[in-house]
Amino acid sequence: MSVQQWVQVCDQQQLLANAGVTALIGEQQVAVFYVPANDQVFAVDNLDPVTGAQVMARGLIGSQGEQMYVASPLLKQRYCLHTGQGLDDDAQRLNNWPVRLNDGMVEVALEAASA
Amino acid sequence: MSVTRLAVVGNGMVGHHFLQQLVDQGDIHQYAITVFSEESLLAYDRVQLTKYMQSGSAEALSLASLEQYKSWGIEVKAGVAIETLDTQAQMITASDGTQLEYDKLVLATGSYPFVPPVPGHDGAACHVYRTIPDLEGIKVAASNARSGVVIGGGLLGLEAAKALVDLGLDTHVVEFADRLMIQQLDAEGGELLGSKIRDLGVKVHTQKNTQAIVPLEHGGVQLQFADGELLETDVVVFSAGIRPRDQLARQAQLDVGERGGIVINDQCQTSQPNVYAIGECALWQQRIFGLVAPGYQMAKTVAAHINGLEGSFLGADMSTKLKLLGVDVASIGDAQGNTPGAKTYRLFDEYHGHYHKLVVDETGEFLLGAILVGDAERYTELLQIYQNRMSLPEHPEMLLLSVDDEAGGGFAMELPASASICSCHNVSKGDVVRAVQGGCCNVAEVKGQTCAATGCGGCMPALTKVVQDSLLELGVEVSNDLCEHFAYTRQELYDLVRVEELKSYNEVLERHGQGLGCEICKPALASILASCWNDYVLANDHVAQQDSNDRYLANIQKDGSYSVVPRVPAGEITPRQLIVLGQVAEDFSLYCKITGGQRVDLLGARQDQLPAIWQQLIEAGFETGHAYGKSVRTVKSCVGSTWCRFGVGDSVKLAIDIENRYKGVRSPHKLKFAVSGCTRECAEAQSKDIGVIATDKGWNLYVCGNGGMRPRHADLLATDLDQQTLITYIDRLLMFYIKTADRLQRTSTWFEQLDGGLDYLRQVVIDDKLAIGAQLEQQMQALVDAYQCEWKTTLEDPHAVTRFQSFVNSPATDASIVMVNERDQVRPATANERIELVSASI
Repeated sequence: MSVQQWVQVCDQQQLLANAGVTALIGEQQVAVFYVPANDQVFAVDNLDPVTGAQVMARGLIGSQGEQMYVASPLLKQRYCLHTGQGLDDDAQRLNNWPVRLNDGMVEVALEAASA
Repeated sequence: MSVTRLAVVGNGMVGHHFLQQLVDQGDIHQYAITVFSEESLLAYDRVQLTKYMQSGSAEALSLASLEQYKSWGIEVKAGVAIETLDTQAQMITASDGTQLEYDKLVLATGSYPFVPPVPGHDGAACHVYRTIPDLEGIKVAASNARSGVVIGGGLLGLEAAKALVDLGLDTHVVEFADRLMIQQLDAEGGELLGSKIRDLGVKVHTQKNTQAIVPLEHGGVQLQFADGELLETDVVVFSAGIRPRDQLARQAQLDVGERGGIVINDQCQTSQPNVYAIGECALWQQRIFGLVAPGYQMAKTVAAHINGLEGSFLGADMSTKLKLLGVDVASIGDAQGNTPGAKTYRLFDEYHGHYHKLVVDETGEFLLGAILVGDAERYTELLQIYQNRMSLPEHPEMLLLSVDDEAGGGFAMELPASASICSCHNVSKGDVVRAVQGGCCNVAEVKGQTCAATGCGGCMPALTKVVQDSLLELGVEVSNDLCEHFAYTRQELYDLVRVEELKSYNEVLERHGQGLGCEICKPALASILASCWNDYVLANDHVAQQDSNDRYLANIQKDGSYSVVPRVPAGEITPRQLIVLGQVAEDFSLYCKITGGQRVDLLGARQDQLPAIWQQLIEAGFETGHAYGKSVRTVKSCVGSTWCRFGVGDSVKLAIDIENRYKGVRSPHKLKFAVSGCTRECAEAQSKDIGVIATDKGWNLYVCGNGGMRPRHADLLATDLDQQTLITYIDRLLMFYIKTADRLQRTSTWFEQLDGGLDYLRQVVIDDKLAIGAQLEQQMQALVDAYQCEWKTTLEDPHAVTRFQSFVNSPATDASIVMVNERDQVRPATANERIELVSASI
């Protein structure tokens, strides 16, 4: 197991419950979603693969059975928040990164994206 | 056992259907099949040929593909005609020199358009209407023509006339007989159809015998008629009937009819038993069938016969229902009443332009035929009564009246299982019921399994009805739940929110839902909550449920930028306000466009720029325009009696009052209003959800109209109202819509699904039959009183403003939004432009 480089992104208080915010890490736009019901955070690419626009953080999140997903605010394609996998189109997926709440701070491990 | 060699000559609709039947009935791979198509295009839907003029897409009409045929193991020779047939040697010779031996041969060579041999019939201006290349030819000819003439006023002639109208030509129809559609209609029906088509601007000339087509010096031709009259035109299309293509059969000395057509028996065998003929080239009991459904039945018969199954072609019903140039026309059975002893019931409604005729037998018990012109809603019902020889009701004359019932009548369940639902594909009611019992859960699945309603589509209402009734009979509940998180309809949720005074999405989810919610229920409940309480939509309790546009109080565009539309009530704007809009657009480099709702759209704003833009707009007195919301958008108006010499009412004043009353009211879908100052209707109020037109006595109120994707002419709810009554009615109607409509249902579709239609709506809104008028008015007044400009509220809340920053962790702005210039304004860069711009900046 490789050592992950956690980058501090923002205060947990800056997250929006049951919705997303956009973080800029280097030149990478990252959509960070927060689900208070089970205190979970998710970090996926802000780039909508269908339109090429940086908008995913503005999408609505939802659940289908146990699966949690985000829907693109533009054309509503859905992507699994855990894996980034497209739910409406198998061929599409979002990059996603490890993310955690650490002592009131949100941290993302960007380098591990390719792992 | 050796493989049977099967040759099919012709790949039209019927030829293709034959192959489809072989696939459906058994193992197509037991045959070695070769298909010859004289046209280079494989089978396409000739019935829908007029659609080609609108779409220009041959693909959209295509029924067959090389890949599909390949997967069926069929060898296809496209663009190849058969020149000789030797039935002794069992061999055909093709135009490309191919010689092929067959064990069985199917002739599906179709027909050709009959062109009367008048002098000049073969000139450059003359065309026929049969194939896609024919249409291409007409299209080219029409491109520098002003007028066109169709010779022949039958069914196909009127289709051809539609094509000429679509091409923008001044269109004439010339008919030899004294009326249009002489095959299907009687004198009254043909006369009414003619007058309706004339009303549409098509010139109809009956009793005209074309004797010569003479080219003119300056281009175009002159048609010379036997009565001495002349008609000049640029394009001539012959549609004077079809003739069977039986040359190959004649050459091979198969039996043909006196007037053409390859003679077939009940198994569709020609005089050579291993040669079959199907479709419009075949002659059965001295009849040629010029419709697709009988051809399909012949195809099915032959496929069965070759497969060793039972089946006969025993003639076919020529009943038909069409929309010709927008006019509904239907003809069933013995429409002319030729049966001895036949009697008729007739209704000629000159006011609505309807003609309905029933032909019944001597005893009056059975229907022999019918004609419907102008309104063919009863077609399915009458056809079922006719085809199944059902006894007529005690008062058959009731069947002459128009119906409003979309579902095709409540008769479907009384039909016997043998009743034919889809005559194109010969699907019975029993087949449909079995498909539902076998697990099909909706109309789409039944279509896929049975092919019903995939031909002409005319049986769709009947099919839908049978499927729904069968599902109900099985006890299948058709779920109207909003989504998996709420086992309630939108209306039930609305009532729960009202009655239990629920104020937030989380409250509703906790009490009545499950899971995390989704992109369906979140915006739907956000809308319901706003329709009940009209809270600030970006309040902490609400912000996470707002859809893309409401979330940022602006309209998201394809590149992630936003557009801004300030409210301009009634489209009245001061010079100073215009200057401010221009100034803001310049300050923030925004693209400007005038909207259809008499406002100005400012596009290309980044999310982080929105608060600053609105700061300037609000300082200049603008309010938010709710262009982003499912809510009241605009009230369009003409200048009215203040300026217009025709105006009878002050439409601008009323439009401003209405817009200011209902602005900010959220509803199941967007709402558009208009007010016209006189009956000339310059504000186009009759295409709006709420439309008001001034009269000399007050205001007429039109409701539930729509433009856009599914245009609907609004209905006149009440006339000559004073302003106060007008407002009362609008209050009640809107709240009733908000309470009862489905999510994302416009007033037009809501109205169409409202049991009881316009009469019921009048009872609720005007007569207050449900005694909820006062409550609806009071609920609307509460919404009006709770109005706030959402942008003003946002700018007063620093926390809300923070949410517009591009990034939660950086003051940087979003570099992904890149504009380039076009026609002196900005527009989003394309993907390629963006790459170039980024690499140039490095």
